[in-house]
Amino acid sequence: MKLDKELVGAGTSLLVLSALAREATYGYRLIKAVNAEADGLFEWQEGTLYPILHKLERQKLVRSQWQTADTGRRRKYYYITAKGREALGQGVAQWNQWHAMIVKLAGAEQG
Amino acid sequence: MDNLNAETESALRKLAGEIGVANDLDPEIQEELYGHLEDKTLGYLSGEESLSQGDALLLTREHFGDRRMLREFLSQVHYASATVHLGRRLAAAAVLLLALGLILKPLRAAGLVLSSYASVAVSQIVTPLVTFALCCLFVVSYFMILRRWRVQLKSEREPWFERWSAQKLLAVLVSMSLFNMFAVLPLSAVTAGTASDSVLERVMASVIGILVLAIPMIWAWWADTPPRRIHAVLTGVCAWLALSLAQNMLGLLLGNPTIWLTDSGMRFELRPAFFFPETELVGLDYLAAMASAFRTVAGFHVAMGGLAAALYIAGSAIGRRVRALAPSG
Repeated sequence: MKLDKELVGAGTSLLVLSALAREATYGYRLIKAVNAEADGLFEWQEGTLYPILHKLERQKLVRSQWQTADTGRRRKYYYITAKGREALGQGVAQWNQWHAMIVKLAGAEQG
Repeated sequence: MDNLNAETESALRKLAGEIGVANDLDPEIQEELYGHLEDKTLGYLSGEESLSQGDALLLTREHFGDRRMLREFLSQVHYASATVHLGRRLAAAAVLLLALGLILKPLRAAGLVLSSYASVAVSQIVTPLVTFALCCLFVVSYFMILRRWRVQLKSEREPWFERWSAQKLLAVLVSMSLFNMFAVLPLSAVTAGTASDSVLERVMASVIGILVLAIPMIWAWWADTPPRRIHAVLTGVCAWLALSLAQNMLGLLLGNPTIWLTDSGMRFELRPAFFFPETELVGLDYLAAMASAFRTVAGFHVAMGGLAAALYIAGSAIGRRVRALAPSG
C-alpha cells in the first residue's frame, strides 16, 4: 500500500532530519537511503528534496558543506545541527502523540 | 561506468540550468542539482539504480517519441493514401454519373419531342411518366453498377479506376464532363397547346425530387470506407456537390447548344441559359442577377448534399444498431 501524498508531505522534513541524524550525506545518497527503508511505501519526486533541504538549512536545522564524495566528485553534504536534533526530537514526539491520538480514536470508533 | 560523455553531461547541465532561483544562488544550486542528476544517470548505467515499472514506462514513452507528432505524421501518411484511393473512387462515380446522363439524355429528349406532338391530355400523362421512368432507370442503374464495382473491390479484383493512371482518369472525367455539357439535343418548339400542370405532373415532380436526392446518398454510400466513415461520407457528398455545381454553373455561364424542332424544320441555337430578355439587364445589374441565380443553385445543391449526408449517416447508424441487436450467427 502506498501512503497518501498529503501524509508523506507533512512528514517529509522530519524524515529528512531523521535520515541526516543517522549519517551526514548529500541529496542523492539521502534519497537512496530513505527509499531503501521505505520499500515502495511512497513515491518521492527526487527534485523536491532540495527545496526541503534548503528550507531546513535556512532554519539552521541543517548545515551544508561541499566536499569530495567517495565517488571522487564534489557533492554538497548536509549535516544535522544541534538545533536540528532538538527539532527532530520535538517533531518525533509530536508525531507520536498525533499517531497515538489517531489510533485511540480509530480504536474507539471500531470498538 | 565512471564518467558520462560530454553530450550527456551537457544535457544534464542544461536540465539543471532550467531551474533558476536567484542570480547569486543559481550557480551553487545548479551545481548541486547537476550532481544529483549525474549520480542518478550513472546509477542507471551501472545498474545500481533498479528500474521500477514507472521508470520503465517513462523510458519507453521517451524512446517512443512525441505521441502528438507521431499521430500527426501517421494521419498525414494515411490521409494521403486514403485520399488517393477515395479520389479514384469518386472520379469513377463521377464518370459513371456523366456517362449515364449521356445515355439517358437522348432518351428523355426523344420522349419529350414525341409527347409534344401528342394531345395535351396525353402529354400530361406521358411526359411525367416518361421522366419518372427514366429517373428510376438512372438511379437504379447507377446504384447497381457502383454496387458491382464495390463487390469487385472487396474481392480484391482491381477495377479499371484502380488500374488507370490518375492523369488518364482525370482526362476522361474532364472530357466526359464537357461532352455532357455541350451534347446537342433536339428539343421540340412545337406545342400541342397550353395547359396548367396536372396533378400527376405535380406528384411526379415531388417523386423525382426524392429520386434525385438518392444520387448524393449513393455517393455517400460509395465513398463510405470504414474506419474513416464520417470523413469519407462527407468527402463523397462534397465531391458530388462540386461536380453538380460545376456542371450547373458552367451551364449558366456558357449556355447550352440546342437543336429546336419547329414546324418549318430544325434550328440550331446556342441558347444562353442565363438570359433576361424581358428586362435586358446590363452591367452591374446583370452581375447581381447572375450572383443571385448562382446563390439559388448553390443553396439548392448544398441543401440536397447536407440532407443526403444526414440521411445516410442516420440511416447507417440505425442499421448498425439493428445489426448489433440481431442475434449473431
